[in-house]
Amino acid sequence: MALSRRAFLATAAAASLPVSPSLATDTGRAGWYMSGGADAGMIHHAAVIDDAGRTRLAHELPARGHAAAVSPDGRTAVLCARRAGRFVTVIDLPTLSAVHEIAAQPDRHFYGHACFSADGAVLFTTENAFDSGDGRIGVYDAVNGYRRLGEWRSHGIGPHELVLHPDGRTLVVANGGILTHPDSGREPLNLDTMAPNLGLIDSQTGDLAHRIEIPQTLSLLSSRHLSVSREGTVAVVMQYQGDATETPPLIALVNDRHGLEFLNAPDPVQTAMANYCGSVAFDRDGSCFGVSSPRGNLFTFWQTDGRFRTSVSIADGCGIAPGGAAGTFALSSGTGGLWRFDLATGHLQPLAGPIAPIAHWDNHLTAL
Amino acid sequence: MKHPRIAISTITALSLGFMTPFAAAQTAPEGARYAELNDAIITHQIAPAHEAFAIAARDLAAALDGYCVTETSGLDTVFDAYHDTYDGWMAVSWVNFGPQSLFMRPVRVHFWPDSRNTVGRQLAGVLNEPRDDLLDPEVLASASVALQGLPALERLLFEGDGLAPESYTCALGIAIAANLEAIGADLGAAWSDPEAPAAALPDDAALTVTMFQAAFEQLELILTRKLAAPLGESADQARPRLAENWRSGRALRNIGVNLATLRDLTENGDQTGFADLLRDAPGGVDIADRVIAELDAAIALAELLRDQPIDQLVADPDQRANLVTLGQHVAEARRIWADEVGPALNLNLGFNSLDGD
Repeated sequence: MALSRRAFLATAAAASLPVSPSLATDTGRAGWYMSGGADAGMIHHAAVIDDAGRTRLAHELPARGHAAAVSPDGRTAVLCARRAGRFVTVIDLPTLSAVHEIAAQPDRHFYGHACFSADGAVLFTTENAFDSGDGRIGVYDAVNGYRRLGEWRSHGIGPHELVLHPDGRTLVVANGGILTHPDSGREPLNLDTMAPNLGLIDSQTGDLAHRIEIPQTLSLLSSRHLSVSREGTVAVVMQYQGDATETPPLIALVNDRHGLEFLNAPDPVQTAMANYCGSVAFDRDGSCFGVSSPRGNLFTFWQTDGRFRTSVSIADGCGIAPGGAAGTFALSSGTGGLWRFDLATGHLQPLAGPIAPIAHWDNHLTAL
Repeated sequence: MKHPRIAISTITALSLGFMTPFAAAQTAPEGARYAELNDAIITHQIAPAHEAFAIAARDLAAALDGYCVTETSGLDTVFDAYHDTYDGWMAVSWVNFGPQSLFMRPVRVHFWPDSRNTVGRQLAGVLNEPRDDLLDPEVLASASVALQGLPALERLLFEGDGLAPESYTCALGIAIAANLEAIGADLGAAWSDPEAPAAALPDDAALTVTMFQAAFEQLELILTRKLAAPLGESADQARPRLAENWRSGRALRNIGVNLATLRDLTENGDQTGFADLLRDAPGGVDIADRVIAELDAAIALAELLRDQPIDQLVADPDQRANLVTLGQHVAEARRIWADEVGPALNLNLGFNSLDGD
C-alpha cells in the first residue's frame, strides 16, 4: 500500500468528517446498501448500491473485505478487511469517497466486523491479539482521524461480529471460540477446547457486563454473527465444526427474560442449512429476521418469537440486510445477484439496474 | 478405504479443493452456451419429470380410491403406484430452486430427514383423533408440512396394520395422494413457464451455477445423509433407521434414481448436458468421462442392492463393503464435480460458502 495514498486519505479525512451528534438524520440514501464484492477479475471493492440498483461507488480495496458498518448519522461507513486482514477503509458517504484507511497494529489483525458508538464518535472493531490468541475490541477515535484510543478484551477467542445494543451503551460481541494464528492462515487450532460465547460489554468502560456461554454440549457451534432488533432481541447464528451427519441447532435468540433460546427449522430445512450460517439481519421493525446459509444455498426466515416462517434458495446467497418496509429484506449472492424479498408474499425480485462491476457479492450487506 | 468414517472425513478434506474455482478459465463458455444448457435441462428434464411425478401421484390417488372406496384394485396396485410416485419425486428432488422455493413445496412432498420423528408424532395425533377436514386435499395442503406428503403415506402403507378399505387411514391416504398431485401439477406448470425459473436470477450463467450447485448438494446429501449416517462407523453402530424410506425398503432405490438423474444432467443423448459444455473446454473430455464413469459405477451398485432392506445391508460385512464402495464412487463424483467440472466451466462457486466466516 502506497504511503502517499494513505497520507492523502488521512488529509481528506480531516477535512470531511464533521460528525454531527444528531442521530438518524435523513441522508437521502434510504434504500441504499453497502457491501464488499469482487469484480470478474477478482479485484475486491467496497461498493455502494442505490435504491434503483445502480452502483454509486466501487472503491478498490487492498484485499478482500468482509463487512461494512455505518455511523449513526448515516454519513460515514467503514468496510473491514476479511479475517486476518489489516485494513479498515473509511468511506464518506455524502461525497462517496474513501477518506481514510485504518491500519492494524503490528501484533493485531482485524476479524472483519466493526460498529460505531451511539454518538458516532468511536469505532469499535474485533481484533486478534494473535501472540496470545485473545480476542480484542479495538477502539478508534472516529472524530479525529481514527486514532487508536486503545483496546478492550472481547472476553473470548475469535471475536467476529459485534453490534451496539439499542440501549446505546452495550456492545454485543460474538466470540466464535476458534483460535487462529496468521502463521497458519485461517486454520482452526483449538476445536477440542472451543468455548464460544456472547460477550456483553460496556462500550464506555470495556467492562464485561455479562457473558452468555454456548452450552458445553454444543461447544463446536461457533457463534460468529449476530443482529439486534430495535427492542433489543439478539439473534445469533452459528457454524458447526463437527460431523456433517449431525444436525445441531444453528440459530439462537437472546432476550432479557429467556437467556439463550435455540431454534430449529423443520428437519429437512435444518439439514439443508448444511450446518453453516453466514449472516443474520432483523427486518426494520424487528418482528422477523432472516438468516443466510451459503453452504446450503438457502435463506431461512423466522418470527422474532422463534417461529420458523419459510426458506428461499439462492446459490451462494449470504448477504442480508433489512429492506425499507417491515417484513422485507435485501439479499445478495456470491454469484452476483441482489434481490428484494418480501416475507409476506414470498416474492423474490431482483434489484433493478446494472450492478457492474461487482460480479461476486461478499458475505455481508449493510443498509445505509 | 474400508471404513465409512473415512468416506466422511474425505468429504471434509476434499471440500478444500472447492476453493480453487476462481482461477480464471482460459476459455469460459459464453452466455449462449449456458442458456442452451439451461434450456435443455429445464425443457427436456425438469419440466417433464415434474409432469411425470404429477401423473404418478394422480395414478396413486386412483389406485387408493380403487382399493379404499370402490374395491376395484388390490393393495399391490397401490404399492406399485406408491413406488412409481416416489421414483417420480426422487427424479426431481435435486431441484431446490425456482418454483421449488415457494410454498415449501419440496418439504411438503418429502419431509426428510426427520430425526425428531415429526411425521410420526403428527400422524399419531391425527390418527388418534381423526379430523375429517384433513380429508379435503386443500385443507391438508395448509396443514402441518410433515403430514401431507409421501413419508406420511409411507407410514400409513407400511406401518402397523396397514390400510383397511373404507377406513380413515385409507381416506387420508387418498387426500395425501391428491395433495401430491396438486403440488406436482403446480410445479410442472411453473417449470413449463419459460420465464419463471430464471426470473429472479441475474443472467444465464447464474441459473447454470444454481443447477450445478444443486447437483453438488444432491451428491453431498446422498453421501452424508443417505449413506454415511445409516452405515455408522461399524456394523455395531449402524443406524439403519436414519436411512431414507427404510419402512418401504426404498433406501437404495432412491439413491439409484437420484444418481441416474444426475447422470442425465451430465449427459443425456442428443440433449445438451454439462458434459457437452465440458468437452468444449480444455481438458474437459477427460473430466466428463471420469465423472460419468463414477456415476455409472455408483448407479450399478445402487441397482445391485436396490431391493435389499437397508437394515440387512448395514449389518452384513460384505454388503457394508458394497455400500462403502458405492459411497466412494459418489465421493469421487462429488470431488470431480466441485474441483474440476466447476472450474472448467467457469462456474464460480463458493465465494461465500467456502469463505469460512
